[in-house]
Amino acid sequence: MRQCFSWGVNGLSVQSQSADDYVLMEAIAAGDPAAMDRLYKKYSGLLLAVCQRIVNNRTDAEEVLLDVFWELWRRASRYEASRGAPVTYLITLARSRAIDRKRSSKTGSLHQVDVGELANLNVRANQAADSPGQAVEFAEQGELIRTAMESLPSPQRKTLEMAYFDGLSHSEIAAKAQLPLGTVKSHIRLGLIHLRDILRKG
Amino acid sequence: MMCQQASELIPLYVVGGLSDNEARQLQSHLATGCPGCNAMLTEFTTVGATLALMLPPAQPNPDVHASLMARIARHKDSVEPRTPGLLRRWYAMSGLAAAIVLAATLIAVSSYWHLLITQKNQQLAAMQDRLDAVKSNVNSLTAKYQAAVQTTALLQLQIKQSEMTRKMFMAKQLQVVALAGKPVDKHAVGRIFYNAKTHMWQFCAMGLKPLPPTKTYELWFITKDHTKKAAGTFNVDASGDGMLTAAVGQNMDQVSAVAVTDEPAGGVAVPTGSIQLIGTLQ
Repeated sequence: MRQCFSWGVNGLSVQSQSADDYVLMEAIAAGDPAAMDRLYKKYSGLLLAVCQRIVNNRTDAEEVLLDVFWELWRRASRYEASRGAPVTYLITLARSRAIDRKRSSKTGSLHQVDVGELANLNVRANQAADSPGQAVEFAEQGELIRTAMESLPSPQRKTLEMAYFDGLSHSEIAAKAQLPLGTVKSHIRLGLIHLRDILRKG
Repeated sequence: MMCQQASELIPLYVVGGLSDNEARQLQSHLATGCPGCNAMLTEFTTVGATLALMLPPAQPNPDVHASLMARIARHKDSVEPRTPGLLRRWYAMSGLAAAIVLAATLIAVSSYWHLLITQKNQQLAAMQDRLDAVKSNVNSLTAKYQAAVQTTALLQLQIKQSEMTRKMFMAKQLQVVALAGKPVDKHAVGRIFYNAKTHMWQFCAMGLKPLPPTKTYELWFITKDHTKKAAGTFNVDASGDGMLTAAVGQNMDQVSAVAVTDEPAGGVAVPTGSIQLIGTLQ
């Protein structure tokens, strides 16, 4: 059993860490600041990376990060475990709020980070993680996802990145990539299914 | 919407690429509780979130953490109470599912309001208790204030009497009549201080025996033609001291003697008791 999907896909999980996240979410919903402190230290680096990737501005990203955790503090009770692991909820929330910020400010310039380039940034990743063990875990997880993404056909991968990280609508992606709308949808759907299948195999 | 159609839309839904109409249709289907499609949504949501792991974690400015914890400390009670998950997806449902959600919503709202009302009632009861305590305190203070007012009035009266006495004693035309306790009580004495200018006089007695409540001492002016005129009643304290102040219209020159008798409480028009003090004017 690998530790890559502590929050994750069928058949792969690290129960201790995942269970700890659920406990923290319960504690936060009950108004425990110490639990929020722990969850922040655990995932703020990851969520800031998501926000920064989307809004493409460090200051805006940190504001979104603060908003995300503040929203989590106030509305942790809205989290439903049946919808996914806490970290999935956090990433989804951060992505949604970052896209909102990007669309409202119109200041972010779209850019795409090639998966291959990201592989060279593990040093920063290690520095940002809350603990050495967690840094290794994030790095391992990131490596697996990058490998999975690299295995996707390039059009699927790029389309998926534009949809997920740039928050573009399918029509916007079609115009930008000069692809038919149906093809864009197909790329995204097939890309995610392919990624899911890879992750299932672990 | 059938599951087949929903399964094609779910991957696109996860990345937020559906039109509003498509999203509503998919949400309606998911809201029916279809286990397969809901499980698929959860799985693809997780798959989408794994993309975040491609990114190298960043290091937030410590100020962000400080701001967050400070805000939490300031608004520690801002945590939203737990509500049923269905409540948050009501908008995505239709038909029977929406009715079920609406019922659950009403129950939840009703429960919430019941809880809120209960809490408010408890707060109201606590405030009522505090109000009662304040009222009791105010009543106690009011009683003390009234007692103080009475004491002040009594002191003012005593001061006024003392001032009158002082003025009387300082008058140039002051006459003094000495009364002796013979024959009843040899230790009793009395004095009348008469101001011939203001026609005010003051009687003081010492050494008289305290009387029961049913009786009182009464002062008499006895004129040269042996007429006895009542001049007022008084009582003495435990040490036998008593005082009486009055204004008399008659000229004291017509008075040949002064006597004190013990009479029924309230006094009488004609003396009936025994003489306790007596003195003659020179």
